[in-house]
Amino acid sequence: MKISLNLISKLGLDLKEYKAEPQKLADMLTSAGLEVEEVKDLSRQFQNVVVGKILEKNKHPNADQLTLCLVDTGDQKRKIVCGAKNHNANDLVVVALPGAVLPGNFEIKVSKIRGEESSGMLCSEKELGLSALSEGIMILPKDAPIGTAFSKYAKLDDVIFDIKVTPNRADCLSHYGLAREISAITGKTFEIPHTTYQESKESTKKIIKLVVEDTERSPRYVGRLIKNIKIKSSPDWLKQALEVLGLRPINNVVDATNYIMMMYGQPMHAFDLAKIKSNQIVVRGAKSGESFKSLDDKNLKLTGTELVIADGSEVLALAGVMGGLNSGVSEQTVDIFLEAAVFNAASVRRTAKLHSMETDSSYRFSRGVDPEGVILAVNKCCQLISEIAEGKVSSDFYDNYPRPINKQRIEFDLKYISLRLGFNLDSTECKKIFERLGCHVAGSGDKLLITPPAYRYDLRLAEDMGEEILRIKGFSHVPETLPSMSIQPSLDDKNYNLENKLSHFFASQGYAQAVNLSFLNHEYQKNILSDEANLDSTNIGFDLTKEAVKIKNPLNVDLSVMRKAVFVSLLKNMSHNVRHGILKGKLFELSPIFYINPTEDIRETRPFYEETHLGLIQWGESNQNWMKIKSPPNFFELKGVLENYFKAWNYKTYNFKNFKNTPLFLHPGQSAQISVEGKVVGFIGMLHPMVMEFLDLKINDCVICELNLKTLFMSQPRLTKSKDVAKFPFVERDVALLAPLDLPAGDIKQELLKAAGNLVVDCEIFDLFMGGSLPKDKRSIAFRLKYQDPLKTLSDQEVNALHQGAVKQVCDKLHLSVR
Amino acid sequence: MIEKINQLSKLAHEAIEKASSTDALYEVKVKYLGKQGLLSTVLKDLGKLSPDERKTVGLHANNAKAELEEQIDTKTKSLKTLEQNQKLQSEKIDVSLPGLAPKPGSIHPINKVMNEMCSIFSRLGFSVRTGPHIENAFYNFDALNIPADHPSRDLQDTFYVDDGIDHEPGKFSPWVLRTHTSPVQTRTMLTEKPPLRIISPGGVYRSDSDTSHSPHFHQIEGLLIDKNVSLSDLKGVLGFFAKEFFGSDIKVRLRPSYFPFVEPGAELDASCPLCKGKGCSMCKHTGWIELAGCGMVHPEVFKAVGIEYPTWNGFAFGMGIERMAVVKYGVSHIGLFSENDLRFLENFKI
Repeated sequence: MKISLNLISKLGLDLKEYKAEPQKLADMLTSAGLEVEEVKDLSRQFQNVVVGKILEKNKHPNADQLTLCLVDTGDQKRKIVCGAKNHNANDLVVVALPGAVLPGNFEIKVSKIRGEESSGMLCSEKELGLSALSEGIMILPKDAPIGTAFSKYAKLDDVIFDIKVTPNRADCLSHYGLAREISAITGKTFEIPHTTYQESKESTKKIIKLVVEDTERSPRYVGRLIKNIKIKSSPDWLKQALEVLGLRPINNVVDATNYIMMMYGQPMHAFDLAKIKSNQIVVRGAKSGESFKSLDDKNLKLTGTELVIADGSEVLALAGVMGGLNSGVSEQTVDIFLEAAVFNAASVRRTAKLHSMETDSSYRFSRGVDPEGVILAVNKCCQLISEIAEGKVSSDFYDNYPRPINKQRIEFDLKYISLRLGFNLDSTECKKIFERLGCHVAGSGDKLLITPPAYRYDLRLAEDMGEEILRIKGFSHVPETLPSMSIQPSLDDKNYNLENKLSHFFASQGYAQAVNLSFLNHEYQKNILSDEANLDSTNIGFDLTKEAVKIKNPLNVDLSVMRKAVFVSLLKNMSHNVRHGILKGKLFELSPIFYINPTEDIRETRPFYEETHLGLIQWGESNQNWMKIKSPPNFFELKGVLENYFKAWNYKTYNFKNFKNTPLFLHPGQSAQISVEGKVVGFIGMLHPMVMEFLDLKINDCVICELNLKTLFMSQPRLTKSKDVAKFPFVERDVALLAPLDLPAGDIKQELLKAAGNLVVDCEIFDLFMGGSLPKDKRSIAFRLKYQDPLKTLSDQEVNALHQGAVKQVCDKLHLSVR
Repeated sequence: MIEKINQLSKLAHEAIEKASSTDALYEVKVKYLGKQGLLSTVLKDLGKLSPDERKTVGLHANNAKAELEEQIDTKTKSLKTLEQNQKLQSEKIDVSLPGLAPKPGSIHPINKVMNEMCSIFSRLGFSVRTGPHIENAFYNFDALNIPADHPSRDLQDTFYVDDGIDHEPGKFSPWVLRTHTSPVQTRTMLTEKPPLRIISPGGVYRSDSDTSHSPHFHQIEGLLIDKNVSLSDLKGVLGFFAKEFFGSDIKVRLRPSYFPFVEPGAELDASCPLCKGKGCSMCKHTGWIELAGCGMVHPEVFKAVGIEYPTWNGFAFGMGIERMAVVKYGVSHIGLFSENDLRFLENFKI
């Protein structure tokens, strides 16, 4: 919100002492909660820009399109080259002298233009930043004093504050509001200049009928006729005032209503009396399907939830939001019906949102307009229109205000300050602060009874008053103390701790933690997960068949849907890295995933399901170090890390098994379903070549894994139990078995362990051999079994018998032979 | 016989001197001192001598033997040292070759910051709570004194989640991506009894995106409910945090601000840890950085969750994790946080 210090002064508040040091005032406002985001000193903008007189206009000796002028700038006569066409000798012009910096950071220097020295520039309105377009340079009236600073001549010696007004401070959305606030902060008082205007004999009430059908949504409605208006362009001071506030001048009547809104915070609207049919104004709810053409030429179909201003037949305005194209003030307008009302904040906000029409008016109404300030604003507007548009103000006016606002009194106990704010303030000072804020204060001693002014919608509770004390007194009065707390032992969220522990585990194993946005492109996710309907949830430990959660108002298509799996984002990260030349990498991410499925919550059933997943990705070909040792292939390295994880977290069993029905994004021969303690928890697998192709990367070696942490965390954390160190030595026995190619080594291992009984403490696969003299459909797998008896030293005979028995049993069962 | 012994001793001494390896020395030892060695052979005839002679010769032989053995021992030691030194010399490796340990991984800066923050607050007795990312507007807004149709909802650009229902015009799905971590406050106050001291880190979402805003970023929320809590306690707690996190010379200040769920509401600034308050580009030359939005929990919030006020009262605060990481680690732009470029992530070793 832009505030002009000159306009505030016009309200009677003297700001002279701050004009020279506007930053000081800005800091005071900021520390009172009205953050001044920008201080713009207009006079500084035009330093070294002065009024000058063209003494001679000559042709530039070296350029047909340029002129060489001799210009009197008061202090001296300067030669200036000019490219414009509209100037003549004796014209008064605006001269930017060397050293001036014009808008756009355009610095003026003495320079040579086509061989002629030019010590300055004759400026156009556009170059001065005063208008968007201009034809030629600015020619000033003959009475402009030569040598005067342009800012002074054009009365641009203003300071503009851009203030961030928080939604609770609707009362500060006007110059009047800011003046009140500055007065409260500084203690300087002010009085608004008296309003005077002539009233005509005409009666509003006799000419037009007002019916307010909905006083709930229109608690106050003031309307007054002004006749015989001469529509023309506004006087310069008004145009300038609106322009510095960022508004576009239109005509004197529209400008007057806008000016009053900026000054007093009261949105206004002027209807052309000639366009109001059947001489009546009706404030009513819209009818569903009713049409309305707005001032900015949009055709709206109303839903029936809006409040409208209508005449006998059609809608003239969306109440508090925007007027209609056909009933507004035009060049032909002679008589107007001036509206100043208070509309219900929520209702205006809904309508503005519904039709995407945020206007200065709806902005103010949806934050709250002061019902007690309406009459002042109407009077000020009548005065202005009678001054600048020669309008004749009617003798009477409508004021439909059936339930005048009754501000509740607030009980304020001074103990609040010492107990809740941490410092002490005596009753007199406290009272003074409240009174400066426009409150009526009664009561005595520590207990005050406060009636805040009507415009302070935000002051309802003692806490609100406490904040006012802080704002005016200064937050710096709050000391730093530590709370005296009661002991309340409480555990951290279990999952938070487990996730943290898991992150550190995977980081220690060489994986970099990634954090991705939760949303992504719908098509991308669909493409990766391909045939979602075939992804049986029992297969991979979580549900990819469910529908993805869509965002209603996504920023763009790439962020339109919530991810159903973490690895989908990790694939994007791999793409990014590979495209930047990082051809080998390992990433993991712990994040929630989302899909549509009813879930129980503390109060109701949620339609959405969330659970945390661990995603892992590892890409790039295995490389060799200088000792010629190759790094393990991606699949088995990741598998090893997962096994470490399961062991470290004390899971009793885990299993990697080929899919019966492989998800389409995985390589069917190089992927596995992972179960832990009998429950399927996720998958690991090389990416399917089709997905690799879709990603269009210059690598083809990538393993991905996703685990459902909800399942894995269910039985965590687990106690670590110490096992005694065996006292008796262990004995190892090796065996190489000839097995069919498609028989998983893991199955044989399981059988060996089972057959060897409980004296076997470990079984390791230490060699794998194919080809050579072996039959084509067979491979040799070498196992090393470790036997150990906790109670005695095993003899060779005992071990041999045990080992041979087990080997024979397994060979018989699985039809294998010892190699 | 004594002469013979002396002769042999002399020969043996010379042989020991000559031996250039432990193996050669061992051979000498066997040759002269072994069971079948030359000295033993000489002494075989000892029995033929008279008892007196036997005694003298025996003593002489034993002395000679002992002398030789001692010499052998000394020589063995020096030869062993020599041989080992030679062996060690030949085993020299090029220590400038790179080590072969696997590369360590890393913890994402966002998580690093969250962990550190949680551990600082845990020392003040705060414990961690989490909540869902898809939230009901009740927890995210209504219970936090941000009613529907109130402009305070515009403070946060909200992503609405499609709940598959056709809502009336102007009405929205009640499901949103949480715009702050504050709904965890609501959930905790509804399910647990005061006194409460909780901290809640996690992802939040807002529908704006530019060079300094990501639509999905991270916050940490703090809530303390007890009897007799004051705004000065809030300032003290956040002051403690700022000193622990950024350094003991950090100062804090409160500045008025507006958050619907607190009253009074404030912004807490910390003196800029980079320039120590002198002014730099990090603090936009103000000497201060915004640390937290905070304030005393609003009575309307207590009403919504059914906690008796003012018997119980308290404060709440919220901080942006990315901002903390930017200040603490000097991350140059927020795009780096979600790009997951390994060259960036590698900076944050465990």
